[in-house]
Amino acid sequence: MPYATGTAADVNDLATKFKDFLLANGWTVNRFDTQGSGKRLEVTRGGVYVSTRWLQNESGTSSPGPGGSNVYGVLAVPATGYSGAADWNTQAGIPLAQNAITKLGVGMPLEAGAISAYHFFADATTDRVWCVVRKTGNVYVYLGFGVTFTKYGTWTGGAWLVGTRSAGGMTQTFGYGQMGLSIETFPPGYGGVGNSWAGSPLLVRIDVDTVVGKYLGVSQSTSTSERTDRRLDSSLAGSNYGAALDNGWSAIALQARGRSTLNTGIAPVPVEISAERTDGLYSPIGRLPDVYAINISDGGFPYGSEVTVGTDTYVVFPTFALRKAA
Amino acid sequence: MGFAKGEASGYVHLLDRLRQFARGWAHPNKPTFAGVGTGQLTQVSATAATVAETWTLTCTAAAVNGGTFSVLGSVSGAQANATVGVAYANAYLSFLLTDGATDFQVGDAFTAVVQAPLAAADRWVEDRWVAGPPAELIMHGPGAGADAIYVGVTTYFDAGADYYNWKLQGFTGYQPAMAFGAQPGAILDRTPHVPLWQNAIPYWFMVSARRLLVVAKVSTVYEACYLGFLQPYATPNQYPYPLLIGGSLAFLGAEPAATSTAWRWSATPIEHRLPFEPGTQSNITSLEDQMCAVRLRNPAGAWRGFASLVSSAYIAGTLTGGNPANAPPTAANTTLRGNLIWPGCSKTTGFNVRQAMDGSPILQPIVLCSSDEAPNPDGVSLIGELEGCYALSGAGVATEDIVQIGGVDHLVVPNVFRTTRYDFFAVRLG
Repeated sequence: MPYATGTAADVNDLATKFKDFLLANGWTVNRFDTQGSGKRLEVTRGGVYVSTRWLQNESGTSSPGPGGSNVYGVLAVPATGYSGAADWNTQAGIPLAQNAITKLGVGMPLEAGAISAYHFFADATTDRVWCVVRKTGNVYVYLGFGVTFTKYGTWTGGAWLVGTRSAGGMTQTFGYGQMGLSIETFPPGYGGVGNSWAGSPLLVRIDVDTVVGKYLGVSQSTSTSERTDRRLDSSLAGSNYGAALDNGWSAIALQARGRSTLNTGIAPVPVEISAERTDGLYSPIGRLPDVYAINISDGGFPYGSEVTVGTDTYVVFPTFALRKAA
Repeated sequence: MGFAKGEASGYVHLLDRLRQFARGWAHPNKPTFAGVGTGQLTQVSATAATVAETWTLTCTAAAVNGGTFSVLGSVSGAQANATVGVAYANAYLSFLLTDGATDFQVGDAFTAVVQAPLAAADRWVEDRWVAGPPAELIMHGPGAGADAIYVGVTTYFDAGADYYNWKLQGFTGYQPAMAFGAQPGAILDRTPHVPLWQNAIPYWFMVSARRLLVVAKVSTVYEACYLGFLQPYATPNQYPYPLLIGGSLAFLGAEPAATSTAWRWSATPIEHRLPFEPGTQSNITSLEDQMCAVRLRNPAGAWRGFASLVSSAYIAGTLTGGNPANAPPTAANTTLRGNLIWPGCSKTTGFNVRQAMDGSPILQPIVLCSSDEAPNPDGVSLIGELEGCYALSGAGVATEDIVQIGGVDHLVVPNVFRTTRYDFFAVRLG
């Protein structure tokens, strides 16, 4: 079952349904139980470990986390193994920022009450999974992870983890979003407006020059507690910043026009990720798997509906689309 | 799709060579020479009877400011001798041997390899050929078989200003009795240009059933043109005639006087750019269709202009305000408007992209995007891509490099005279 959609009673119910979806699609659940008033879910596949903490009206957790109280949402970190004796955020191999102290993870903010729509995607061939949730109104949030990145050329690594926000910035609110819509940023931009939140909403396990064996993240920050040893950049990043960002083939203009008036369809734009090299230039490393930037903001398709382009079927959301596995 | 590399003896001969190759004649490549004479083998042209073979021209009798050459085809056999300074033609080949400062000596030899013609399905039909100058060429391509894709080139020159150029056109049909610029569906205002010269022009022709693509080297700069269909993001029923005419020169504002050297290949205005990233000035308030070196016939039959702007400010204006239906061409954005060509429209002077992690080049499609901006709203849309044309980072590559992607060769070309890492493109060879 590569795709499922439905509703959930609350964050914990969503966690249960996501766990069941992962099990049904080949992931091993190492742990799923109650922690605090929320849930803890830790899964593995293909040598990749992902630990998640589902917060239901709780205080923000310690690193990595947003702080504050009455928090709803999901925090996620990649790891290199699983130990039943460790907490979700103390497993081996959790990425660290450049200061080698601050843990990095991603977040998917949610709200109190029932969840009116979720969309789960899995691809058994490529070991990828996505969770998209209608947070409120037309605001859709997401969490995705997988074993294999859609690579350009060859490089060592490939595991990836992405959320709507960095873990540290999960509860922050954007004053504006892409294309004038008050929505969450997508696809992964930086930690947040004003560059004041720790971490990265996208982490990729990749060896870059002398930096080996680490997860690297998208970040504009120069702070050693917020950036990784080498930075990644996204072709769709920078949407909330005035300065031009030149570390990839910027596709913002494509996304803005990513629909077709010829056939009232969508024009899915791949999200390219680039990695900072020793010489300061950036190498495109590939495409964020299965997700595309689109522009259907002014109608034509209900959010969450399916659109077929050629032989591919996409589920469309305000600024992005997930391609369903064949 | 077919590919030919050769050398023409000037701007009119270049057009003749394109005509010959596109209509499916076997194509003589650039000759090689062994010997001491400094004369040239010029104006080499094929005929309909030309076949793939190797021609060898050998000096058999030396003469002051002259000489006699035997003419031998590896398939066609021995032909009549050729004389230096006298135009030569047999049933398969024509050329002119010119005298140089050092006379040819007996045994000096030119070798010209004739490559096989285009596949039948890729051949274009010649509707009009006027040898000129001024030359006129109108051809139509077969497209998917039932198509007829009409394009044209005419030449013009000014000896005083020392320019010898092509002027490009697109049509929807052909009427023998009608003048070049009055053909059905022609661009009726200003058309794209290709600055050339009357000296030797190394060239690369890439011809498919849908389009003619030319890269020409003039001295040290590179010119290009695209004549034919783009690859639309739509079905033939939705967009039946996506004809694109792209050159490497058009002017923002009034065109220069006919006697101006601004028309010359050596001119360096911002508008002198390849059609893969046609430019105009940034910070303008509108783009006039006719001021663009890339023109696309839209589904309604109007010729729209497309440009790539190099402006660092537009991204800020693209997504932080404005109407989502119209982004980025909104009132909030005064620097990037109108119909665009990506990725040129997104690059800035801080462009930091290099090749992939393993050193392989990354090719980006060249995408046309339309807008809703008055006075020519066409709807916000990604329209399609140029066939076989790509942008790539100039980091790690050099002009005329051949890069292989998926086992297919691509030629690396700079943006006319620009050679920073922002300014490189690749065209698919074959």
